[in-house]
Amino acid sequence: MSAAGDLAHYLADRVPELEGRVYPLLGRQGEPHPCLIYQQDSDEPGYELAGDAGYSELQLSYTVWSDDYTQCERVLDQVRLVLEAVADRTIGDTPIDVVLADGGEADGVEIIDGAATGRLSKSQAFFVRYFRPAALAPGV
Amino acid sequence: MAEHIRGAGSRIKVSISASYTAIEQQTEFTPPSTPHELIETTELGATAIGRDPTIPGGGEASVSFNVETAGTAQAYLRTNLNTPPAAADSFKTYKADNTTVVHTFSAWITNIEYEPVNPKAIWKARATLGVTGAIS
Repeated sequence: MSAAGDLAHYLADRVPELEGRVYPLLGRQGEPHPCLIYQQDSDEPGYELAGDAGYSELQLSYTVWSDDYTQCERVLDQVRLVLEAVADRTIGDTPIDVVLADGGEADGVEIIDGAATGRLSKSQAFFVRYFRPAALAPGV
Repeated sequence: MAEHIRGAGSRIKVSISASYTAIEQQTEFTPPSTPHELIETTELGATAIGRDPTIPGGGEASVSFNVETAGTAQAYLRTNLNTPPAAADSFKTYKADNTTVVHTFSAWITNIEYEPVNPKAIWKARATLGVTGAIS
């Protein structure tokens, strides 16, 4: 599984209010809230002249959706606390080096056909460096 | 077809106990340059300024790397920076085939400069090599 997917499963298990509702890119229609949507913004592998440096740097965005703004804040705080505690641990198949909140939090509202639905969101980006499988022999 | 020397796989090595060893986790290197000056040789009565080249040399090379404290070659560079040996160290640059030598030169390690360490960074450094003698 990808690093983003491993972290998503980990969060689903450790943020009780989400009750497992952690999805990539899009929420599910009619899904109860809160839910957590994650998006991989970039994944940049490290290279040496000899080839793969064995690590990759990932930019991930997490958005909590809820009908209750306070719940958005609370759940996103829990997400941040769980993520920042995974440094130097293997999550699923992914050895994590470090996770850091990156930039400020951002608010949002769901609008459908020009009208607010009452769904609110709070987002936060994270910087993740993880280790990849052992590098192949340098190319010739 | 014109030759293109691929960067990926290329490397610079330092001679340690008569064996050339690649600097560990090198991410970039700058091969040695051979700059030379021009000096004026104008004589009295000349109608134009004359200039002649000095002998070449005195340039620099450098290698950047992710810091690996246990790396044999990185430790060797650090030691020879702090305690210069009796003779300058020998270096070679290699093409990506790890066999074909492009440059052979001698140099003193004149600096190891670290990049700023911040929460997202991994430690990186750059060694500067002051070239002495001819480059082949």
